[in-house]
Amino acid sequence: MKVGEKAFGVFCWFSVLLTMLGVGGFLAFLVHEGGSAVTVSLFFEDTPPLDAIFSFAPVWDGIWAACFGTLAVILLACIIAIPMGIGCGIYLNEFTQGRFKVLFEFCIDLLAGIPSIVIGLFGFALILFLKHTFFPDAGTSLLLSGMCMGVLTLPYMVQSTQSSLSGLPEELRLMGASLGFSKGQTIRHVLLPSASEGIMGGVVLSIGRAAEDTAVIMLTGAVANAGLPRSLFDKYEALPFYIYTTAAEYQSQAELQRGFGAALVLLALSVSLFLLAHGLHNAMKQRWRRG
Amino acid sequence: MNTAISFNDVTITFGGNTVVSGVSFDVKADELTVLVGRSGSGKSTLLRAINRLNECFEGCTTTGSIMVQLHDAMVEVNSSRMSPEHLRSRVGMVFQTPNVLPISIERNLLLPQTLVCGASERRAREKMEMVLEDVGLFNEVKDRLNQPAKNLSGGQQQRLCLARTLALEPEILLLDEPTASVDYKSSELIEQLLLQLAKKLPVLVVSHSLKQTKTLADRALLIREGKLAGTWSTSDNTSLDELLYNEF
Repeated sequence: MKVGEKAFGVFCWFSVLLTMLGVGGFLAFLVHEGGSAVTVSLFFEDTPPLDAIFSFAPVWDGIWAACFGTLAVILLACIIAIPMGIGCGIYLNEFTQGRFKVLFEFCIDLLAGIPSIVIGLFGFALILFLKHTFFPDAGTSLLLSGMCMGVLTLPYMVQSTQSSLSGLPEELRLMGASLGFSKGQTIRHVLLPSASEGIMGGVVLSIGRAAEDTAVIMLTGAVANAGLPRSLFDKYEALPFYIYTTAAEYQSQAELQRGFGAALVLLALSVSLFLLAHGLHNAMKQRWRRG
Repeated sequence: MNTAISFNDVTITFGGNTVVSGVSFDVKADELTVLVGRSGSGKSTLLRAINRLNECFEGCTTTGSIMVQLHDAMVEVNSSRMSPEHLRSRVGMVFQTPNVLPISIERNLLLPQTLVCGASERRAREKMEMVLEDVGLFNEVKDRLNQPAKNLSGGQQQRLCLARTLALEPEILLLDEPTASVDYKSSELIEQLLLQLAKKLPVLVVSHSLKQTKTLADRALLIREGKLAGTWSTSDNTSLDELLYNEF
């Protein structure tokens, strides 16, 4: 028994070590390959940065437009997935039971298991259908990508919300009810703040997935050299797409290095969004605790 | 003598299992009544039937009549016209384990007042100070109202829960083994508080302690296997020990 316990401890320790080594090695490789390429010129090439940021001056070779496009897709996906996912999670855990709950959970599991290329294909097929029926001018766009990405990330939000709520002690629900809170008040003021850590995990996963997925955006609106989108219905550039095309078609070592640089920027962008999400969460938690 | 709570042939089942069977009794308004019995005898279920908290559990069915005195009139708690939220705000309840919200001490007291009673910030703060004084907690927490309520000791947390319930100005107070998870000193303090509160409003306490029942009860109701097995009152000629002799 003691030997088994010790072996299990060593296995856990080894797992952590391997994970840390993996992450560390990956970061070191990325910095080694692309660190020197991350310069102002990688973002804006010859265009003055201030003109590009504030006057929307066109940037032809830099990744500024791709950064903007990626941020826009993440934002759109979050706008769709976060409220809908939290709503579905609450409904699943607090309002439904029996066969319908099982069926609903099965649908969410199914959605979580659909490969992103299939969701991209669905979006593409949807836009073709709309083009040939109600909206002849419809085409792949930033909005379509954002919506498809929202559908892709929705299961993370639903499952994280549901599992966080179901893990809360039953006493919290009873306490809310015993004080005369309505079910909605108990959910809004007691359960959701108590489950916020777990829900936050879903938000971080959603942001990460929306930032990195290439299959969806390839089929729904991302193109090379589109510049900044002028509206939600415009085509756009995206960092994962830029990295993918560079890796597949690079002509020189310098171009490949720029691809690695873009990967580093994408990683930094994701981490910044995680930090922003955590910051917002902490501020909300403080507000809830202190009133 | 006014009746505050009246049970008439109440049977409670959970998923077909009968937990309380054909129970009838009255709780007088000016008495502290203790529901006493062994663990699992159905005391807490009976208590939760009064504010319809059993409805929060799946498969609960209650038959019979439970009347409570609210706004100087006896009303049926299971009536379709009675909203559970209103009932629960008027019939306050404190649980066995202190269940403070993981927020600050003052927010634990202000949030229910603003949500349930719609009290203004100023009014809620006034009430907060008043109820903290009532439960003897004001001097202990006045300088750290912004601190998390979870930082308080178990006994302090339980008194905070009592204060939170009192802040809603209930007309009846229910307590489910309120001293079961606090230390001896806190237990004594809470018992003294309950004796004080019983002078102002009807109090029904669940207990499985003989000593506590002796300290608190003006009237004791013995619950055994979901049925009323006996009653005792201070006006009886018999002693409480006789009623509870075989139970403890």
